[in-house]
Amino acid sequence: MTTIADLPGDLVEEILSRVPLTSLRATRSTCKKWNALSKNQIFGRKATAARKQFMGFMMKDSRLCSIEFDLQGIRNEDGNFVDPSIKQVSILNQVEVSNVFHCDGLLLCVLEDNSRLLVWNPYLGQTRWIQPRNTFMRHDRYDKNRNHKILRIFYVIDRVSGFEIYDFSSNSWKVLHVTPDWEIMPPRRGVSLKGNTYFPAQKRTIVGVGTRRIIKSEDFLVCFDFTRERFGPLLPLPFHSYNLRLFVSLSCVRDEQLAVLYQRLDTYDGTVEFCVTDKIDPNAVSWSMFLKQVIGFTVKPCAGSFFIDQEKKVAVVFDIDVYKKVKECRYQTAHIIGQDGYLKAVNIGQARDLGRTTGVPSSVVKGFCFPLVCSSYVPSLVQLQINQPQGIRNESYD
Amino acid sequence: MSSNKIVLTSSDGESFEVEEVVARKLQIVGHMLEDDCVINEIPLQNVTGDILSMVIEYCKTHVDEEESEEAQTKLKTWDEEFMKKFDIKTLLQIILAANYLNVKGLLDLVSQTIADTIKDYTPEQIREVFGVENDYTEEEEAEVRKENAWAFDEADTPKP
Repeated sequence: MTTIADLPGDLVEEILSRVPLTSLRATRSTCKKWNALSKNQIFGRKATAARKQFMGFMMKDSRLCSIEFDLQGIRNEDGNFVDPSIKQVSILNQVEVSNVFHCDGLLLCVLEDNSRLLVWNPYLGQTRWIQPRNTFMRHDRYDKNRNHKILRIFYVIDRVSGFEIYDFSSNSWKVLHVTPDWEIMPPRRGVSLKGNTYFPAQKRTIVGVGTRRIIKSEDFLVCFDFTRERFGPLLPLPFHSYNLRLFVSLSCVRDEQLAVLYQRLDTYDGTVEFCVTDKIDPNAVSWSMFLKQVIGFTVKPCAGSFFIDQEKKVAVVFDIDVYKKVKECRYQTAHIIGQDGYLKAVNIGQARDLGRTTGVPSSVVKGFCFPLVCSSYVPSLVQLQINQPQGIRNESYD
Repeated sequence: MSSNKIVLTSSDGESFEVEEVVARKLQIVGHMLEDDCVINEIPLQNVTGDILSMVIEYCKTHVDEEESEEAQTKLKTWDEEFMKKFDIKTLLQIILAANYLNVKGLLDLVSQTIADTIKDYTPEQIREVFGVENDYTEEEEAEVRKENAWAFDEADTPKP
């Protein structure tokens, strides 16, 4: 009698590589051999790509969560809409995070107490803790690329004051000596795409003299090229801030395109616009309008993370509701924005009160953890080299 | 070569006379023919007659793979129907044979068919159907489940 035990390992691996991600847990729980074999190849790459739901990771209530969002039923009037499933990542239960970045199947978490960074490959179940060279500041920004480097941006108040790069292979930080003539204003975040990170940058120019001086600022995109370890030229965004367009956030579409969300302040009706790139590289970009919609409220620039579904022509924006003095709590909402005026708000629970102000100068979400969604997840086999168990003892230098 | 017919003999002595183009779909045969073109009978040690006949049926159907969309769709439908005939044990024997005889298309087809079966099963069902022994301790299994709990599965999907 033939059983699967009679098959050579590479045949079992071939079979397992075709099982979709949704069977990951069941397949790996079968036996030790299958668990090991399933980590050599990506499960159901095609099957995962063909899935109709959005699957990714997000920060919610200072925890890292996985999220599945089925957008199939959004137009159904018969109540077939399915709320998103949001699951706290159980192996990271003990870890409180203040920021999360996704790049190439890896998640980079900044710990709530700013003591360390955690990189996690969910597919391989590997984690790596990274020690900072000196104390982390709350508004530092990080991004990493597939050559396994992390860019850290230092701030003094809201001005960029320096850069450091962490290299996974040497397990060390080094200072990056650049003095750009632009700013990356917190809480604006960069987005990783094809191994590089694109940041929303602002360039300030002073016009006039004496008391007639006005500071004009204009929004751009700037790419950090991780291979050459330098920033590219300022690239245009599809709008001009002097035309009363307010930048909200960037998002990545299937690791192929970049999307930008901005709000129009000139229409007084809360119009949001989403554009996607036709072409993008560190030195050039071109944009197309993806979706334009009157939503009737202001998306908070500190929150406002989003993802788009090109097939269904839908954008989903994660935001936190407006602060009201009479209300003790604030709610987190996923706003589904579609064509022809489609608008649906999905309450995803109360926002966690952090019991302090976030200190972001322009912040209107003081003291609450805002939801932060990352671009859709595609598994990767990137080894984190040092596989440390959670809660490893810190080395002391006394 | 004057004759276009090749005789393939299985491990249990069953012989199949097939056209050379069909036999060449088995890459193992293809290589033998390149080495020595006077062979017209090939013994295949690791495959029984009943399984070899399935492999030959597949190769005959796929002998001239047309590029046209219509032909591709027709083949795909045939593949699906062909796979429905077999239980898991036979599928495992076919995949071993496809691997030994080096028939890439059939290997892909059977791998996908088995994977599609796996995806609907619980770990207990997988073990039972595939005869896999659970070598985890209770704690270890719980740990693996926890490690992979972020990936959504059918149990997590809320019903509308």
